[in-house]
Amino acid sequence: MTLHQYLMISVMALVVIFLRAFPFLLLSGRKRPPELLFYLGKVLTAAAIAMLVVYSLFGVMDYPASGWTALPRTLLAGTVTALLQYFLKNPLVSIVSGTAVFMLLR
Amino acid sequence: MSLKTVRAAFVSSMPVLMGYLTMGMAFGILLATQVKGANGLTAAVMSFFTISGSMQFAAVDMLRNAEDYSLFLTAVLALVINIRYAVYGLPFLRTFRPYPRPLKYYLIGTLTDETYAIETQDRRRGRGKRLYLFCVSFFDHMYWVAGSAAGAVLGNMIPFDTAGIDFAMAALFIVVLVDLCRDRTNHIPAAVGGTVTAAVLALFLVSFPGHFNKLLLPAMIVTVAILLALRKKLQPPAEVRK
Repeated sequence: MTLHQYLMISVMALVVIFLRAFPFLLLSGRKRPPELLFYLGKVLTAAAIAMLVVYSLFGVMDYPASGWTALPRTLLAGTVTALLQYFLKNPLVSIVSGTAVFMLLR
Repeated sequence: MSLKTVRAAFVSSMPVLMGYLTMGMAFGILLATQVKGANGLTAAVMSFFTISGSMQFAAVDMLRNAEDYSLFLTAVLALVINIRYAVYGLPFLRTFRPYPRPLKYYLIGTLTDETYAIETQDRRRGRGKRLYLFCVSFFDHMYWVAGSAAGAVLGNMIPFDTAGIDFAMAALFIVVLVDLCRDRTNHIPAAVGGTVTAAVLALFLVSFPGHFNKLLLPAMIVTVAILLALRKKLQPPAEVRK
């Protein structure tokens, strides 16, 4: 691993620590934080995760090196993961099954 | 020290035990197989200080393509992915105020979705509560660190071809998204984030083929702008929010 990678890890950790400490740093116990923060805290979480879904699904296809050949199994494995999670609500089962589908269909 | 309180905290943390151990292992395996030179210690250190599943799974991909991520971009992505933590501490502002600093900082620094869920339900008071909160945080924290380290060690020993194992990252985000979407109010924000990312992705493929991992920042800027514009429509009335 390179120095830059270690610095990235530190930056990510520091940002998360800063965010966790945020209410305690800026607010005395009585005052409520701005409404905008509540709003962004809620909507950005769902939006960011949806972004990461699209981004990481595209990432596993190894485009352009592999062209679009991985598209069908990516979509299939993604659907399997989502359906299992929706009905069984067991993250481990969903993730392992989806990943197995993706790895085995090569 | 009351052993009874410690035991109660352990019992409360049991549902988290399997979840954190297995998710931590998935993270560790992914990190070790995707990032050259990452080992059990790297995974343990990341998990010890970050304690955020979505952040760390995203980190695997970012570290793998480290040359495309400046420290500034890394910070911005971390900020957006983890923004919810900025409001997590609020229910505890009052509770933690009289606590000794080290304890207070530890409780704040280890607040996760699961720990939050357990600790907000606690009705204890006084010294017993302090010990209970510390133990719940500590147990959850250790499950996550132990799982990650074990996963990374395992990941470095896997003898078979791990091509395609990076799908686990996408799978984790799908799982989180499915759970978030059980709450209807998350549908529109999720749709905005997903659609914008797909659109920006298409744009990048046409204009900068091969650099698609630079798309997250522009996609996030557009997403934040749209969500700010939709605020009046999406923001629930104050009394509905917890």
